[in-house]
Amino acid sequence: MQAPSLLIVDLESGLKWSYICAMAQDSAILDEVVQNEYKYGFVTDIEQDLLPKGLSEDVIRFISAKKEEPEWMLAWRLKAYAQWLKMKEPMWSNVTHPRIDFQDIIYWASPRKKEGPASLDEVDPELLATFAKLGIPIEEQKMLTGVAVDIVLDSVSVKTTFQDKLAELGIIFCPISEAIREHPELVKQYIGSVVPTNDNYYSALNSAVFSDGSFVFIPKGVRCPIELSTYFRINARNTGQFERTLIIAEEGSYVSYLEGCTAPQRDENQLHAAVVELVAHTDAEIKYSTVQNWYPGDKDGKGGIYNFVTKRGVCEGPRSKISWTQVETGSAITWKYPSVILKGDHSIGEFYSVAVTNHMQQADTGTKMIHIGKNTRSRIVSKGISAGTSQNSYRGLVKVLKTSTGARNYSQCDSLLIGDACGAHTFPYLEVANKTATVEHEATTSKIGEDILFYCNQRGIDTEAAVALIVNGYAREVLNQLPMEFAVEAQKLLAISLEGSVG
Amino acid sequence: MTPILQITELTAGIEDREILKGISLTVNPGEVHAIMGPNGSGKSTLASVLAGRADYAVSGGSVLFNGKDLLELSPEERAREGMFLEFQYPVEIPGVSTANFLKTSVNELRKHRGQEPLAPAAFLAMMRERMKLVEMDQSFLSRSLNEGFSGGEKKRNEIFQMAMLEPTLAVLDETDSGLDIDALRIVASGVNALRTKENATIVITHYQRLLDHIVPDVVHVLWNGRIVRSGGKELALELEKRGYDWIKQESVEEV
Amino acid sequence: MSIDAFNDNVRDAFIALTSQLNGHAAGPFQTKRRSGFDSFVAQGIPTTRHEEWKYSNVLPFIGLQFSERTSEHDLITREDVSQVLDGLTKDSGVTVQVLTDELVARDEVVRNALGQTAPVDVHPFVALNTSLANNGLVIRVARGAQIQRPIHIAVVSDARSADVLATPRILVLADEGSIIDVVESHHAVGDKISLDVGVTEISVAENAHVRYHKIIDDTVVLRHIGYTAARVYRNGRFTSHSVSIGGAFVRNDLVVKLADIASETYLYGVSVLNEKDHVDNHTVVDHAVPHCHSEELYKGIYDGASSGVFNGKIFVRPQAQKTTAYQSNHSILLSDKAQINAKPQLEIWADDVKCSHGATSGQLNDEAIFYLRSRGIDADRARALLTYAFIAEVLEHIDHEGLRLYCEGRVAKKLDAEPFAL
Repeated sequence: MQAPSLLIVDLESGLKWSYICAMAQDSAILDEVVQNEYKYGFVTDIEQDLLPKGLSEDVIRFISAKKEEPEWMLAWRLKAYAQWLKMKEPMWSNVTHPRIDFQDIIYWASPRKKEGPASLDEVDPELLATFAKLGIPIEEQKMLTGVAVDIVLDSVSVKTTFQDKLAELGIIFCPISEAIREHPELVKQYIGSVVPTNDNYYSALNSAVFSDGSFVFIPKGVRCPIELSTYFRINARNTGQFERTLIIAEEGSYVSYLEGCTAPQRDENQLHAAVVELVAHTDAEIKYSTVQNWYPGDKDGKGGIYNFVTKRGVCEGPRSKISWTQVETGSAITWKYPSVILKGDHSIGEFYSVAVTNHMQQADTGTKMIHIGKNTRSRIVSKGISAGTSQNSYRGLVKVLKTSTGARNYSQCDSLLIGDACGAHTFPYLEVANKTATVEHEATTSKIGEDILFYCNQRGIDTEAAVALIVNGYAREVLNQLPMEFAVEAQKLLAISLEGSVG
Repeated sequence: MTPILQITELTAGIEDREILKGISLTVNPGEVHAIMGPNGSGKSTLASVLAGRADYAVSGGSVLFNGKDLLELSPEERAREGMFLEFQYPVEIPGVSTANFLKTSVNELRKHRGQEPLAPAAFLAMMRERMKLVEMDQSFLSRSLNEGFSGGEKKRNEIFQMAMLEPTLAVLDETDSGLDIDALRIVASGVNALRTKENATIVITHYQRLLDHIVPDVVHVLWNGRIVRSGGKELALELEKRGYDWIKQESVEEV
Repeated sequence: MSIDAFNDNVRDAFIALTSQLNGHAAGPFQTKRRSGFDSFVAQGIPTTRHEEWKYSNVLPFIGLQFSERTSEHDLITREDVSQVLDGLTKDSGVTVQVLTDELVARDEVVRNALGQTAPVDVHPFVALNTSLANNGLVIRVARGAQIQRPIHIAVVSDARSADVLATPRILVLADEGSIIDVVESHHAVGDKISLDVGVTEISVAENAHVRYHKIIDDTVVLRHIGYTAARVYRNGRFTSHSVSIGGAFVRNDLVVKLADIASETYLYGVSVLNEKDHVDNHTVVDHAVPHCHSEELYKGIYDGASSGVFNGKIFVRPQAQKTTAYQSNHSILLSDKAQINAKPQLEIWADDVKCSHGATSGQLNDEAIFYLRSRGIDADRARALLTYAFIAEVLEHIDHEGLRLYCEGRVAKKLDAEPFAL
């Protein structure tokens, strides 16, 4: 396809011509690969080790025993379970769904392989085929991009690459189950310190039943030389995915962490309730990127993942920085508010988000920036795109406490509407109790201009490609935050998610 | 004759960084001084220190303004004593009309001199007359101060204010930045019309072209926080031709 | 405890009012009151756990022991009306009536309008007001009448001898093509507790323009919970100015429904607070049909230990294509103890729309202060001038010159600044 080079310079959206060119090629490739259906919707036949449906103390004891956890961990889980039993399912956000039967969920499933593989050769070939279909060629990534990948399939962490190399630097990157056994003092100190077990209904549930997840520890002064990455995938039917991630960046350290999610097509809804905790000490920086593409359900809203996630980071020390970037294209329902508690003076919190909803999807996502320390800064950029009959809400809180002299926040929340049956909603909360704080929030809602579409059509770009193009331009500020290899995947996902939404 | 301005060994900076490293300068009534220099040499810092901008801290030296210790005075006291800073980037103040702003300002200065406030009719007449100097339209008077003004309109408004406030010392900070040739001519002729035997002007500029219109008696070259060379107006022409590098070279050799 | 006592008090007052109705006990007004009372009981007094009352806690003063004779003491009586509106009725085209059971029974227009734009189930205090509403006011503007002089309704709660609950109810019915300025102000006298729970319903017919001004300019004792609802028909325009310059506890709900095509609304508000003032502005603009336009600008200055709330919602219904809706809210905190909570919201269910909102909280611009000082204006005066100018940008939208000058003067006085109007 020929790049229509001159056109874009005139467009108000400020797209560059080179960008159009790239997209045109991408969508041509994508057309071959996908036909309007969920790209990652296939089932891999791997023998699964399943616990019967339902939740009880016994189930928690079983999970803890399977993981060979110490007694304190079990006690912690049981306490969270007791808290959960007393809590009510939240009903406040701008989404609707049938009541979840928590006894109809399988809380434990693992591929039937007793020992973790020592090399890729030992990994179930079927599993490797799955990754190939997912577009995650592990070997290639390992060699070409230097990404260390930890893969959590259903509930068990299968393979962590590059572990040894990282160990030389003192970096710990392993399944959290392993960290509980190998580094109990670190886990004990930090787990639940950012997201208390009783923080909310789903964090309590996660604390009780989490099966695995990732653990990262970057020692003082170390700059993690490669992107750390985890892929999560729900494979088994009726399974809940409850992973837990804990990242600790010691003084002056840096880490960039990527999280990717996929799930196969299923008729029934599945629950994903993760907890992510980040701790950044003095001068440390954590960059956390997510590309979330859980199965969103079909056109009629059948099936799909309920994605109820608690993500929070604390900038503990002075000049620390936590940056969340997310591209949310999947899930039937998403509730997710990655937040930063800005405790250290001069600390920085960022939130960059693109959330795309199509068909019957519902997303209610945003962030909380809690300014406690002096001269703390936060920046929020949220881009919502609604199509079909979907509902997309931004919900965010910027809170400046009395103590936070010189705090600054800037928020920009934009919504783009495609089609006349969807909705876009913005619910920001600004709570300011310090006179030296500067807080700015802006939001806009609009649809893709007919004139821009016509312009593209006139230059030979069909409407669907034009929409993909415009959406990518619209989301660019956020996509730019992603590491290169993720940015390309995210662009494709945006295009796929919106296929069939026009015309 | 008392000089209008007498700066002696002035050192000043922002936070921990020293920008002015010992400036001495005397400006007498009736004189126009040009201060030239490359970017970052300290020109705008000097203007800010003279006007009393809070971000800059004076660490040494003295400044006498009409015989008074300038550094002891607040920004508004300096203005009332006859110091006028023409801002490089004039501030936009929504909700405050140019006319009412100036009325407040003029009457503050009059009060300082022990004069009665001007009657509204007299004030209006004075404004109308002095606007002509910079070819400003009367509609500007009722508009919010500088809000939505073009770059040229802002600069003309600055000179109009200067005409209203009748300072003894006007410091023009990069007046020519962002001006087209017509606006430059209007602004410069306004400044020239306001020159008297009793007042003085300091013109801070990077380029010589403004000095074609406002002809200086003395030209100083500021580099690295010091005045490294002073001369007549021909010095500006030489700088125009040869750039600043030779001055830098020479002053390094001198050190 | 105190909520229960308050509820009992309301029940007693409701029964007392009912017992005085004689022949009207089965009339349409009483039917509306009864449904109001039932709804009040069902909704209850909101706590800060209620999303819409998150930042405004009514519990501390809800424990008032107001007298059962509330209805007799209602300050809007026939006499008050003639006093407050002295001279206004001479203008042709405006009729002012007292909202009685008899009027509601006799007049179909009034009967239909009462409770139409402010239904009892949307808000607990609308329900409370409805259950005890009596001797309110009906202001009707005749077709095509262009009324030059504003109508001013002053609600005064007399808390000199006992706690008082005032429940003023106002209906403004502007007929086709009419133009009117309405001023509503709330006051309290005395040092007992007064709670003023008001409801104002405004109907703006085709091509009509209602300019509504709500002025809360009273310190320390006033506790006011007011709900104003306007409904705007084809080509109609509703402009609101909410000027809050004080009050111990002020809650202004303003709900505008753009009910027919090409209708417009412009909402302006200022809060200028100090000491322990608390003002909570809740606005909803409901775009129910296509081709409507709304603009909203609220600003606040918060000094002392005052607190402000801005909660503004733009609601665009699925069929309301071609909507344009803009909202902005700006606050300046002047003191270490002051605070502002803002929640601007967009709920958009149609796609062909242009909507935006912006909210900021900050301080005066240092560079602007320096600029003023370098022109000879001292620092305190420069601050007062800039603070005033910040608010004056909203007040300049008041069309009626006398009202604008009045509001500017009041704000300037509160800020210790002189008016620098454009």
